[in-house]
Amino acid sequence: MEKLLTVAVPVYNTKNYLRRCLDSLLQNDILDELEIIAVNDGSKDSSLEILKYYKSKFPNTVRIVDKENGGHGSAVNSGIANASGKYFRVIDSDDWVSAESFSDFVHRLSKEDADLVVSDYRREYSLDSRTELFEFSNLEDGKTYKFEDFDIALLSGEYFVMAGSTYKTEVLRKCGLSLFEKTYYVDMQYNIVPISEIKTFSYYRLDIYRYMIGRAEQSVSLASYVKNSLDHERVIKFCVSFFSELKENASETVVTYLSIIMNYFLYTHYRIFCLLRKNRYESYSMIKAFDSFLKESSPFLYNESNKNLFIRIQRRTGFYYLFFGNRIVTRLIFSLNSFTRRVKRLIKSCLGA
Amino acid sequence: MKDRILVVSWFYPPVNTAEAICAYKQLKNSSFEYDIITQTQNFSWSYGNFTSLPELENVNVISIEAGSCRDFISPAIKYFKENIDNYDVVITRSMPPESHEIGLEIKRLKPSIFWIASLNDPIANNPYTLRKIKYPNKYSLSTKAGGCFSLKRVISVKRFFESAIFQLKRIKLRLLLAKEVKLQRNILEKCDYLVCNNEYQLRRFEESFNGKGLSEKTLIVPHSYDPDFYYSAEQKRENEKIIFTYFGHADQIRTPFQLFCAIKELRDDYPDLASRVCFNFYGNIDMCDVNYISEQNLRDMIFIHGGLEYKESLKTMQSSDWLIHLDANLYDVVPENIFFASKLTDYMGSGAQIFGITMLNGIGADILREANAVCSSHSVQDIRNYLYMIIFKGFTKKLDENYISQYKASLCSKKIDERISNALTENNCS
Repeated sequence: MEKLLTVAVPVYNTKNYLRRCLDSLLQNDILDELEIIAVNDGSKDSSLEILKYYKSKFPNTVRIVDKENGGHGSAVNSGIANASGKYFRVIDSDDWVSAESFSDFVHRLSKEDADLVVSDYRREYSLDSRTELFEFSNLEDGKTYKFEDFDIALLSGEYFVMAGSTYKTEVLRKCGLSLFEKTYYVDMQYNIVPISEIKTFSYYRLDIYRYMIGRAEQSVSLASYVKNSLDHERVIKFCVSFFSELKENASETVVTYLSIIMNYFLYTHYRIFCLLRKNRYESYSMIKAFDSFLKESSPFLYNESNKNLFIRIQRRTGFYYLFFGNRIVTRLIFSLNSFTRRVKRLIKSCLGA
Repeated sequence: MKDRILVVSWFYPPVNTAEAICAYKQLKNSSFEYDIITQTQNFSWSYGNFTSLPELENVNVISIEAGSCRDFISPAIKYFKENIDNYDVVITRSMPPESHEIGLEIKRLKPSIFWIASLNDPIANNPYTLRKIKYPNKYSLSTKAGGCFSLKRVISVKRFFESAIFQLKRIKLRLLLAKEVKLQRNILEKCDYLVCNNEYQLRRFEESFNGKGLSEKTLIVPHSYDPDFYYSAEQKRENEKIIFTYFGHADQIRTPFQLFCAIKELRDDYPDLASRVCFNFYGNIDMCDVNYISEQNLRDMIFIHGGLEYKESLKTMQSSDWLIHLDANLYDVVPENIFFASKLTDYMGSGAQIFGITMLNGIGADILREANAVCSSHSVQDIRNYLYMIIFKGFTKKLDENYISQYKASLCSKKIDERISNALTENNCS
C-alpha cells in the first residue's frame, strides 16, 4: 500500500539518540500513513539492534535498509530510492520531532498536493537546554504559493532547510538528486537541487523538527567545519556549477532564491578558510584558487558575494591580510560583517511585515 | 570471632537514606557475618532515622556516638585497635569519605588486612563540586553576571569586598579539592579492592589515579533492588489520573525545573491538564522550584510531600504509573554522567514505568535505555514531548524484565562475596 509520507532516518552510531527519534515519530494515529525507512549506514554500535526492535514492534511502518558505510548522503539517496510515500522528508537519528506537531503535519498532509511543504524547526542546544525557534513569520499558515510568482522578500533572507522541508518523492526523483557519498554538508545539495522542479510550495506553521546542537562530533560545529573544509569545497563547487547551469533557463524568482542560499554558503566557505590557521599558506592558495573558480564559473554569484563586506575586503586585499595580517583586525571585520548582516535582516524583516 | 567482616559505614538503618539502604541490601544478601561500625545520632542528608527494616541476623551493629563525621574517626579506630586480631577483611563505604580515612588507618595498623573500599561517588573532582567552582563571580567587573557596567558599580567599595570574599571562598574550595584529590589517590593506592558502581565512575577514578592497574583491582557492583521489600499484591489506585512520582533529593543542580517548565508549557496549551495527570514529589525540592510551582499556578497538579520511610516509598512506587528519575545536567563540567542513583534500581524493582531525565551520555542514560524506560535529555522540549505522548497518546514503556533482573541484590552481593572468599582463602593459605 502506498503511504502518505516516507521519513528517511539515516543512522550511524547514534544508539544514544535513536530511541528518542523513533519514539517521537511512531504514534498510533499516524502509523497507517507513515513509512519510516531507517538506513543503517554501517553503524558499529548497537543502532541496528535498536532498529530491529522497533521493526518488530511496528512491522508495517518501519523498514530497515542495512548497508555499508557511505555517509549521510548515501543514506538519504537510499531512502529516496526505497521510498513508497507520496511525500518524503529526512529526520536525522540524533534529532527528533514534536509528536504533537508531527501528528498534525501528517493529518494535514493527506489533503496536500504542493511539491514542497515547508514547516518550522527548532534548534535545541543540549549543553544549556536553550531552544531557538526558526519560523517564517511572513508566510501564511496553510497557504500554497506558486514559486514563480512568490515574493522572495517574504522569506526575510532565510531559505528552506532540510529540517523544515518535505518534498514530493516524485520531485526528488525527477530532479535527479543524488547526494555525494562520504561527504559532509550534502544537505546543501538537498536544499538546492530539487528547487529546479518545484512549482508550488505550502507553508505549515508547525514547529516540528528538533535539531540538536552541541555534540562535539557534529558536522556543524566550528571545529568540524574546519576539519572537513575539503568536503565543504567539494559540495560548494558542485552547487556553484549547478546554479550556473540552472540560471540560464530558470525564472527570476528561482535565481533570486538560490542566490540567497548560495550567498550564505559562500560566506561560510570563505570563513572556514579564514579559520584554517594551521596550514596558512595552503589555505591561502586554496581560497585564492576557489575565488578564481567562482569568478570564472559564475560571475553572477561572484558579484553577489561581493556585497558581503567581509568577502569584499578580503578580495580587495588579495586575501593577503586575512592570512598574514593581524588577527584582531580580522576578528573586527568578522564582527562588523555580522553586525551589518543583522541590521540588514532586521530592516528586511520590518519591511516584509 | 574469626571470619567476621568489619564494615565501616556512616550510614546504616534506621537512618533513612539511600546510602544506608544500599549498605543494608548488600549485607542482607551476603553469606558472611558482619560487624558494622556506624552511628545513629546524626541523620543529616537523610530523611530521618525511622526506617522500619528489620535487624539482620548476620549483622552486629556497633554504634558510635558521633555528632559529626570527624568525630566518627577516633572511636572507630579505637574499636579496631581493641579488636585488631578479630578481622582479616574490612569494607569501608562512602559517602562520607571519613569511612575510608578510617580504612587507611586500619590498613596502616594491620597491613595484612584485606581492605575493600566501596566508593559510590567520587571523593575528588566530584562534578558537583567542580560545578560550584565554575559559578561566575557576580561581584567581579570582568563578568556580565553582576549586571550593568555602571560607574557606581565600578567604584563601589561594597562590591569590591564582596568580590574579594567570593574569591577567598573559591580559593578555600580549591584547597579543599586538592586535599580531596590527595585523599582519594591515597585510598585508591592503599586499598586491596575498589568497589564502584559503574564503568564511567571507574574511568573518572583512573583519571585521578597516576598508577596503573586500578581497573584490575576494581569490581563494578551496581546498585540493586531487593524483591523481598516489595508488596506482592497489586497496589490500589486512588484515582484515574496518570500518576507520576518522584523520590529523592533534588537541589539547585539536580533540579526538576525543566520538568516543571515542560508541565507549564503543556498546561498552557491544554488547560485541563490537571484533570488528566498529577505529579507527586517525595523528598527534598529546592525552594526556587517550589516557588516556581506557585508562581505558575501548578499546585493543582504538582504536589510536594516530605520524605517517606523506605518500604512505604516502595509501596508508593508500585502504585504509580510513572516514576521520575532525575540526574543533574553537568555537561559544562563533564561530558557524561557518572552518577548512578540507587533510587533507579528501586524503581526498576517496582516494575512501574520510568520517566528518566538525564544527560544522554552516561550511566543513568545507559540503564534507562537498556531497561526500556523513557530517557529524556534536560531539554524542556524533549521532556514536554514525552509527557505529551504519555498523557495524550497513550505512550507506554514496559520495563525489560530480563534486563532489570541483573540488578537483584542477591546477584550483586554475590559478586562482593566472591572477592571476600578469595581474600579469606589467600589469608588462610599465607
